Amino acid sequence: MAPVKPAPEPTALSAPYWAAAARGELSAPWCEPCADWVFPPRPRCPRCGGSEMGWRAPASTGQVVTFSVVHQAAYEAYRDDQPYVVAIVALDGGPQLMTNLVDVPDLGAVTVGQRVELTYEKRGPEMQIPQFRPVGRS
Amino acid sequence: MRNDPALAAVTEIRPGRYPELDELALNSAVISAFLDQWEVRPGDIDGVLAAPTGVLTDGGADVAVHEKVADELGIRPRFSQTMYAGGAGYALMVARAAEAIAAGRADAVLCISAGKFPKVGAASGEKIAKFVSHPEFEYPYGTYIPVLYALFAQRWMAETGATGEDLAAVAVAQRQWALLHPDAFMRDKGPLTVADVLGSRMIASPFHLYDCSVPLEGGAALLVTSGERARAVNRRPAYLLGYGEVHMEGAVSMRSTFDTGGATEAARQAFAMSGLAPSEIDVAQLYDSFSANPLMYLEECGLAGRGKAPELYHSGATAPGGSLPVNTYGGLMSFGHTGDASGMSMVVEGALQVMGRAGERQVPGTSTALVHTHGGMLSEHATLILGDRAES
Repeated sequence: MAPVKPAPEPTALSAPYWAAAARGELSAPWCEPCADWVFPPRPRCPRCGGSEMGWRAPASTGQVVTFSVVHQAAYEAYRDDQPYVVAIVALDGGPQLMTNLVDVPDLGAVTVGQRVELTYEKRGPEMQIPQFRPVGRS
Repeated sequence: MRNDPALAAVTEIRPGRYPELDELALNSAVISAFLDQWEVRPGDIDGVLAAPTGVLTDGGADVAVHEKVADELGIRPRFSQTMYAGGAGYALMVARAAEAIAAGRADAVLCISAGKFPKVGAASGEKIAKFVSHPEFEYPYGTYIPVLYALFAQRWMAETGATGEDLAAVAVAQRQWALLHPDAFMRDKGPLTVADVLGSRMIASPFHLYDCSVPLEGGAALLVTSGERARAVNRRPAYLLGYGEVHMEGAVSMRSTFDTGGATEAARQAFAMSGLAPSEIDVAQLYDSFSANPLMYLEECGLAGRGKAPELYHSGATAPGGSLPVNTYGGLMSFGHTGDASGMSMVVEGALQVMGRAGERQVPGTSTALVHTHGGMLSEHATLILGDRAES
């Protein structure tokens, strides 16, 4: 059997993020006193040290902070995907996260600052992970 | 600093493949080579700083290597521990040893490491990827070491306009240096051209194969002592004039900025402590996991203006005979990258250049060297400034 790409292993802290992703929603911890995101999820806000975290829906659009087109896959499970794009995306209004860029028509045209929008990729029977694709591709 | 801490003696074994030796045995080989090379007796050593062995192997890491090293030397140190900060751990060992010597807590500290890369294949690719990535928020996206470094390089290139040719020029200059080093692994491969680098297969943009360091095995030892003891071992030791460190976010996706890898702050501290200006640095040894790192570090350490580092390579300034020689041993890309011990190599070379012991590749008139090292995915940063005269 061909090796499969890893599914995330949720922790007590991150379970709401992955449960939302499985429903096709984006949800991230938000520190009320700081009025800012705490991502990845942590027990304490790294700015104020507080532990009162709410969950909010970030924007589903953003821009590429940086990226790499991977021609030699990390390991066997990604061999069929190569070349694939790993990127850091800053969502409009935050937070920032790592993603792949999918549905990219021209890998040579990926740029820093490029606009992207949310999509999802199935991982395992019950999970899916957030992914991003260039805006305007329907 | 009190007691003028200095690198009195440095020894590195030839990078290569040592299938018959595990990392502990490689540590022993380093100790033997060190004792063969220098007029130092084990009883002269009262401090040991060692690195863990077996990181990422199935057997797990040994985090009590300092005990084994002390036992092998037959000494009972009064200052000793196993410490880890990836490739930055060795510049940090020098800093910690110097602090102990300045405080009178040790007289002579042996800093030692030996490294191997875990065998690629089986499940180890996944294991390494998970170790260097955030396990939940990065690992599922197919990351591994070259990709994570590429994210920094691509951002720097987008901001400064640097090109693949600029990156390739680093590999080319470092190969020129390697041709002058008897122990450099890539010496036998002969010179490298920009076209060779750009023609090698793409690994993770912007890195081609020859933009990457060469995974090998090896190790080194550094003896840090007071200036007085150092002069008894070596008539021209390398004094520690300044050091700095900063520890950035552990996971690349969490970085609040990609404008700096972290060298800016570490170098600022080191320069402030040394009282030297960047223009007073004679040679620079800059950790080069990948070709982009020395370019970024030249700019971050203040040795080149923003976006100006590539010119130093294209003009020949960083190559043999140039005005600002960089990675004069060939760097990890041409000398070899000795696993977790790789952060030793640029400290060893910085010291050898200041000591005037760099053989055919010696840069004439070197009296100062800047060494910048990083660990993890550009998360740990440590800078040393070495000189041929104690500060006072």
